[in-house]
Amino acid sequence: MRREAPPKRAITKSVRLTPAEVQQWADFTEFTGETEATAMKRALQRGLQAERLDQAFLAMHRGASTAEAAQIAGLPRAVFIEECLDHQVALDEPDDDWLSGLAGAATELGTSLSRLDGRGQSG
Amino acid sequence: MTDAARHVAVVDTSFWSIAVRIGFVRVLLEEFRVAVPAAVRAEITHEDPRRPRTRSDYQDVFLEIEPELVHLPEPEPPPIAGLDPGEASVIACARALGAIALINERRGKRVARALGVIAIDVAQAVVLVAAVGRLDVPTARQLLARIRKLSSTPREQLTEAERILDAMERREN
Repeated sequence: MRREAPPKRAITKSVRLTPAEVQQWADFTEFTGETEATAMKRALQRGLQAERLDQAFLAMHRGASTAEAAQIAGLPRAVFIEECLDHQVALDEPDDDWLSGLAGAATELGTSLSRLDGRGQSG
Repeated sequence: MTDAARHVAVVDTSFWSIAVRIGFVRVLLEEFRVAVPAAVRAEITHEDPRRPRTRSDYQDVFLEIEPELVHLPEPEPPPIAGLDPGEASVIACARALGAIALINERRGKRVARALGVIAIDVAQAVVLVAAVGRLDVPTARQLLARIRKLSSTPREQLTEAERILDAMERREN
């Protein structure tokens, strides 16, 4: 008979709080009726996810790809791309070859850049 | 346009997400025979770990149009080294099929071009589809305006795209 592996034991971490911060937690858990441990764990996980996302957005600004940044965020790539679109984080950088790339694609589709690009023409 | 006359286009995840957001998917499927490599499919259908057992719109739209996709050869061509799995597969498949790569990230587009693969982003695709007459210019402008609101594509590129639409409009009038 296969025995299930015992669940891994949770590890206790400690943080230092000022008396004012301790009071904030006491007030909050008085309101929600939870233990401090429950409320702190949830806040920690939410905060960590938000921090990871912020760091991933910063990485995008520094030139990381969406796949690299998604790893920082701890999210699948498509989910992270949705986050970028929700937060108006640019997925692409200015591309000097944008027009020539367009011209190549136009040729492939049987139309021409001269037809596409009206610069310098008076109509 | 017959199936044979339409070009094959291989789509990457970021292009797909933007195309769904701006309402460009149906037009895309009319202009191109669209293919999605397994790596991109896996990225699109990957569940959001924060919201298990739910689906986003980009996933719903994908599952809806999946029967219309072009089948890729099996096994798929090996992905291009040094890129993210999705982009690497898109470029490899586009190269093998002589297809257009639909990619919205500059690094991927640059690698594709270096390998002789035509790669375009969503704004370029909107302009092209308007240029071949599949979209009218006002509708193409609306799509570009939506991309601008998403901030997914640099303003410089969108300004170029709008300039081209201006020229097309002048020529039509």
